[in-house]
Amino acid sequence: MVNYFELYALPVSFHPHTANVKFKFYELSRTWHPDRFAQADDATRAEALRMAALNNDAYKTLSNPDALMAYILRLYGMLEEEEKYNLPPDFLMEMMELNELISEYELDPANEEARSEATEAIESEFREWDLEVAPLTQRFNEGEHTPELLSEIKDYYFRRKYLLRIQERIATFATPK
Amino acid sequence: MAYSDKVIDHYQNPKNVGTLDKSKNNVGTGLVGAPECGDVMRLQIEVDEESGLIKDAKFKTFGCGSAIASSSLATEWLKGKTVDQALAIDNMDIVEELNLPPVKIHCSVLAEDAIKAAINDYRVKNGLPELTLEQKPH
Repeated sequence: MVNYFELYALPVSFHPHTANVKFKFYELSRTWHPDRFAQADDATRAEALRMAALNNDAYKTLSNPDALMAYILRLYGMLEEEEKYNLPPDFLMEMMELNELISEYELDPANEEARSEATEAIESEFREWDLEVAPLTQRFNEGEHTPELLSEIKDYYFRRKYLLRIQERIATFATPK
Repeated sequence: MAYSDKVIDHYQNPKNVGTLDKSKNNVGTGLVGAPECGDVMRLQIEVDEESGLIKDAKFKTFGCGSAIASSSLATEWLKGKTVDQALAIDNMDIVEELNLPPVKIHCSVLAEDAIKAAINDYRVKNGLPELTLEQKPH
């Protein structure tokens, strides 16, 4: 089966060109539109449906950076389904402390100090993540498709899961400012 | 998905939430995380040096209801057991007690991992060899 990058005739990259992705999505949406196959035989109609679904999945993945990171890692056999990946204890400790900080905010959402402390802590974690990952994904985009580089990226992929989880947690009780 | 009454009870009234003094030699601390969902769990045991029994257990979990319930139940079970008995606690016992659905089994695995990590920390502090643990998929 073709992968999403092959389908869209794009180079494998963590940052595919947004305009090109959209262009290909619309082009393939037209090509495989069910209306064009209304008179076709069953097998051709089924194939058109399959391609339309594949195109939708490709677009969703290529336009979502988190989903795309997982997809590329899987494409290179670096990620298993429900993989149990161990991050170092100091990172888990940091996530524990960050969660505790969020708890203080959760207990008293009207407290401006607790709010800014918690949100600044998580925002700074995300900024740090971006800064550290950018040079790695850039090396990959420029053609360095090595397992060593991908396993470094994989580590960050899992770290981000914890940050996203905390962000999600804040969203359950915080009212947008 | 509906949680079982037992999960809801542990979630609403978690037992043994808190912290033990991790600098003490008879306290073992396990810190584990579930990478797929981003849950973090800390579980601690305090061993009575005379009797060898676990006299206290505490946890703090940031995660879903099942993860909180699994660790709450684990601390309840740990108290009064020897370290070797504690080692025998299997995640499937937790699944059964809490009626966890298949999609939440990984929460019980996380609790089992936390118990074993706490025991290992205790063992290392007391000059015992670290145990190699079988890796269960989350």
